[in-house]
Amino acid sequence: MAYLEAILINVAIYAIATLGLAIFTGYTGLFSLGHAAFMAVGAYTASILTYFYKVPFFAALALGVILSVLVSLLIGYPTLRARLRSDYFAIATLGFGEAVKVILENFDLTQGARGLPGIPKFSTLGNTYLLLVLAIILCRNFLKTTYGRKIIAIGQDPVAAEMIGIPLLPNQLLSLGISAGLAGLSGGLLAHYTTFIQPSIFSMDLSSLVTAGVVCGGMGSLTGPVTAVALFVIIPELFRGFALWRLVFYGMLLVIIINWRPKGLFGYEELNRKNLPKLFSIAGITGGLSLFMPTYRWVIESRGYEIFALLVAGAVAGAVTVLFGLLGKGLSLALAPVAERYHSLRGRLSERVESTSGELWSEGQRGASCAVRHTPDGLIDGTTALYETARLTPESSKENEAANYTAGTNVKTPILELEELRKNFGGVVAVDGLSFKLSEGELLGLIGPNGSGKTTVFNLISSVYPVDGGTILFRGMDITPWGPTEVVEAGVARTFQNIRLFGSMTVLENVQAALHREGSYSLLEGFLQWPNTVPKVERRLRDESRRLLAVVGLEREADRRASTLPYGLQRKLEIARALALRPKLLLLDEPAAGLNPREATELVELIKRIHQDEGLSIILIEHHMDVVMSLCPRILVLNFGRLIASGTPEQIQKDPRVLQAYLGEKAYAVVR
Amino acid sequence: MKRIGTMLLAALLVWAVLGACKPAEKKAAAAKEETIKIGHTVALTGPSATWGQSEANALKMAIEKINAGGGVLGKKLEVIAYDNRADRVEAVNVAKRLIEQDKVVAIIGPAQSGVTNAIREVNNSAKVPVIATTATNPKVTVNDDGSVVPYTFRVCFIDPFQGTVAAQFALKDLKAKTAAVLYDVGDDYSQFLAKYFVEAFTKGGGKITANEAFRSGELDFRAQLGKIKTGKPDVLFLPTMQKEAALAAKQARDLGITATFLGGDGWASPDLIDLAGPAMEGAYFVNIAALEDPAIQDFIKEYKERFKEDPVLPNPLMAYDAALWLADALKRAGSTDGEKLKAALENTKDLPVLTGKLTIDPATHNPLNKPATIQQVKVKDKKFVYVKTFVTTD
Amino acid sequence: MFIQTIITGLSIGSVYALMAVGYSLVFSVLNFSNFAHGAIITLGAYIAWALMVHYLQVPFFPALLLSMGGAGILAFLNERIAYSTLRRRRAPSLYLMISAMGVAISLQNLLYATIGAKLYALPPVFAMDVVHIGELTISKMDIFAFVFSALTIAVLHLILIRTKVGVAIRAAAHDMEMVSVLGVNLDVLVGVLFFIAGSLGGMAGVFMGVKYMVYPSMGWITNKAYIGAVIGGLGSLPGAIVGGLLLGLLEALVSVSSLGGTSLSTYRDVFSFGILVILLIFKPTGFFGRHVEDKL
Repeated sequence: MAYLEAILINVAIYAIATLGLAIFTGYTGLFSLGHAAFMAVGAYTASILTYFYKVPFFAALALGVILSVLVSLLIGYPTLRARLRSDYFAIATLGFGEAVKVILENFDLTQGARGLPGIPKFSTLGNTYLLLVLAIILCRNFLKTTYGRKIIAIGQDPVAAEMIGIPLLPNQLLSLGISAGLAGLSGGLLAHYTTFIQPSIFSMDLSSLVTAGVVCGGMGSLTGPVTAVALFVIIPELFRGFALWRLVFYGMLLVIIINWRPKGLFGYEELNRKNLPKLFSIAGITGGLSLFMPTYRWVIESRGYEIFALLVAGAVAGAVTVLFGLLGKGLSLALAPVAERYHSLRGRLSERVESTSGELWSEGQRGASCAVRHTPDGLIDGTTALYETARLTPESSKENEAANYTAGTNVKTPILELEELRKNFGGVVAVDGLSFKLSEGELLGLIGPNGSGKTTVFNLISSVYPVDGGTILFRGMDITPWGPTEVVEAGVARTFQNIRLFGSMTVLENVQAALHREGSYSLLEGFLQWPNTVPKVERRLRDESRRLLAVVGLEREADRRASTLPYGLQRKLEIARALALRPKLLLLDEPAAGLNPREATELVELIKRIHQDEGLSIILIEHHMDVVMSLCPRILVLNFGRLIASGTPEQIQKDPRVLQAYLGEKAYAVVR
Repeated sequence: MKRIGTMLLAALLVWAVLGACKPAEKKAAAAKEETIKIGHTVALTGPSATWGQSEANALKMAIEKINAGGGVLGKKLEVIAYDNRADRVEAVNVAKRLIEQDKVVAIIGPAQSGVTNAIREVNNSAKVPVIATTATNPKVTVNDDGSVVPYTFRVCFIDPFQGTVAAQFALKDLKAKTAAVLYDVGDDYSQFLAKYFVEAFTKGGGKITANEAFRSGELDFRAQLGKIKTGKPDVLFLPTMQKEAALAAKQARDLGITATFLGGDGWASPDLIDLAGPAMEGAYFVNIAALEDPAIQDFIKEYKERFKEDPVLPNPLMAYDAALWLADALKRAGSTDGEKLKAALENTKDLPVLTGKLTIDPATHNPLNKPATIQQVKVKDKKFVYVKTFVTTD
Repeated sequence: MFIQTIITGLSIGSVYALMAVGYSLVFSVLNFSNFAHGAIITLGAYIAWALMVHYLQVPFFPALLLSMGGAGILAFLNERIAYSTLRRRRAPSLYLMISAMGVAISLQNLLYATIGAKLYALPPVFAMDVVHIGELTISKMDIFAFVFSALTIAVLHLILIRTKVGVAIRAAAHDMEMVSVLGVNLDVLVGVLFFIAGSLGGMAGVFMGVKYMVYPSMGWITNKAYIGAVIGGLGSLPGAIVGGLLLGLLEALVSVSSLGGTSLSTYRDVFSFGILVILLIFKPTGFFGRHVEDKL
């Protein structure tokens, strides 16, 4: 029994560390190969406190966690700030891991490489599992908050995340801190279980175990990594003569999974009714394998024939596996009606809670829900509702800065002004002294042959790259030196030529992610899913998102995974997400690309609607000439980064320079 | 999922089959009668395996002899051995398994000081005596405040003695005036043996020209050796295991260092000669016992007949002695109870063992009057040659 | 002592440099860090051991060549099994790196589990022969290793400049897609690339085995070689050589220095890994590396 207990405790300890890494690597998308270093910090801190200073166990653990978090911030800040590409970052973490280990070896307090024996054995089955369950709850809560969504967004697409105003550094640090804290907790528990630690325990092998757990379990899930690590601990124990083969097993598994099933066991899913059978199958296989050995030995001892024993043992193992699998499927089916009733019950309950607690929902919001009308083509005409929504959060400071510039007073005052804008990439001049003005409320088209610098202009405005020369004035402010998140906060939103959605999030969550500035509850409240604040805010964000989806006609797809949307709908989603940022200026980069004629027409209608109903200023890059010509009263033509023509669609169509740019000199000569 | 699942399943089943083949022997060991179980934690694989395998063999021999003589307390002794790979973490696991699952009454081994330290908490809290075979660091049985570690014993000499022997040998026999040291900072044994050598050498009037360290696992010491070379020492003391000693000797000679090499019992594995080659010709080291010692010739003959090779000293001797000591203590204690066994072990006087008479100091759990031998490495003849014996008096 | 330390540093550095070249070669074309290189180096050493000590008594030079060939083949197989699928799928370089890690862990522990952790020495080549220059000594093995490595790298250089395969490799380093469009069989090209890199690794492994010993975790030292490659700039062959030598030198100097009375020799790895981290943060392209940016 003590043996089983040992295995279970090990599973819990490693699972906690893996949970941490799952948040960082699985969700934020940054690979850490030195996570064992944080476990080491937690382990040594807690052990030194309990061993030398007789600090009570949980206090020591807590201090270990705190120190791990601090160390991670210390290490993370310079590394994350450098914005390394993913494999360089991983290697830097490896370097840190080794460096921490060497420092511990030379530290007298930690008794160096000889290790720290005699640590009191405080970790029990009870408290490790209690902490594991707590950790799981906290992590799941976290991921359902705006903080969690920001991190997932960064993991999915850091560029897009910045483009919706999510600053990378603080959020990545948050994710790192959480994961380091959990690793530190795990280390402390480990030390007080094995009662002996030395720096070499916290080696690359340990980091690999945890990393393999995340990769094989599924990056984007919590259930997956926990299950994977459990398997990693349990299965080698079933074949105990093979401790050394355990690592061969991990290595091979890493290669197999990353090559053929990078989603791992659970992909982006958590445990739910539908993948319950999967979990049962895994449990079944494990159970079958664990019965294999004892059955084999039992048969050998009573009958003695090896082959016979093998067959019987194999049959037993197979039977158990199949049995568990069936059990899982059956359970899943049986639970279906229960799940339905549970969800509807929960929905009704939460409604009742909210309506009786009398929160301050503005009249405007309630009114807006009633003002929703259906137009014949299915697009809900609720766009008016967008800007009537009372904001429950104070306006950001950047918007206050722009208060000097009052909207709508002077239609002719440009909302956007580019002066002599310049950008080079090495020897290539992408934008060459471009200047133009955009009036407020204008719908401007921007066209030009491929490589003429159109997207670069957008990238300069939204501060994806720094400007090499010239200025950008937005609503009178010089935003040239501003960073991407500041530009978003000032009121500029954009879409991308090659769609950048957060694929693993649902359609609804994609829009919700962009509403991150409007949900205000603290991190602590988020972790605890504090009943007074969090559900209300979340509900409001969800409703907002639904409304925005309705604007673009996607409300029925709300719960689909964004990556499963057909192409045309993905474009619409990007627009909805951009609208969620409450922009004053919307930059649309080839929104009609890849759409068929019917979809293109729908898009034209949508853009018209957004433009008219909101008075948004819009710049539209397009290659679909019919789209541009039908939408834009004024069109700019770019070639080689320079403005070569400007005017109405008719003027542009006849302009020789434009034709020359598109068709080339010789062809133009023929055409003329 | 299906394809991967089947692949994995197939792989695991293959593994299961492989795994099935191994434990077949274990079932045969299920003795029907009751036995007194003794644990053996030993390095059966890894760099220390040459000693460990030999130790395991000798222990087997010893136990069989004891059982042939009627066993202890009317029962036969049974050895349960697990491989600790000389790794501290593994040793902790092994100790737990021996104590909690196999319910041994005592444990023989480990052979390394660091490893014995690592399992201290485990065996002491469970009140199961541990008799280390060749763990020579004083801290193994005596705490910093002078109190004794209640359930840890040893059957070999301690490093302060070994360091003194080495230093005095260097001063008197090698006529060395200066010495340099290169030790492993990650190993209790190496670090302290170096310290005791330095103390004794300086006390005896010698001068230490350099005291350099390297990190465990290092292979290239030429930077440190370059520094050592400038001091032109007469003797280079290498209180490390055979692998590092061999490398250091090779590299030192490469650099043109002409000092005589001197070491401790960590050198005593035959593969020292293979690994070091001619660099080690004529080097000296301190050991717990030597093959030429007349008192143990019977044992050596028996061992050779049975296992067809020389025992790799000193471990097999120590394990044998430990077995004799344990059996005697069990008889005197009259039971397998931990506390009674501990008391019996502590109060051992003049017990005849292979290496002489064993008397234990209850205050330190260390043997008194343990001799040390000096051996010389003869690469060309591929053997260690006995030079002389030192005896301790405290 | 100072000059002797320099010589020691160069000697260690030349081993690092040799290993780093293999790393950089793969990086220059495939743009990922092949962590399995260390395992190939270790296997090269073991092949030499098998040939020279365990199964046969092959003399040094043929054993060296055979080990190089064997390691090359293993590297080729490694690519086929663990990388080719990802490569064809244009997976991000991070995935390739993880796959490489998996291979490294498997192979190293496979050695532990099968042959065991016992240490083996390769028969001494040039035994204890040293060359004395005044107070300094340089071992003949080092000189041989240095010269042979230099020759091999020179041959590699010639291959890259003069032969068709070499030109194809250099073109692929710039633009893999274009090269395949132009009709080069990428699979063959990458295979050849890994064979070359593996052979260099095998050579490094044999030299290491002769200099020190043969044991399963030899691969760990290639982490250092990797640092050397980063210092010189990943993807640049001259960079790898410079970086490796530089790292060896710096390590040797650190090993003999003290800071306020404490010897720094045991902190040496903090120093090396510290340099790695600092470089990655501030100048990931190292001395000679290329800067690659993605079009957004």
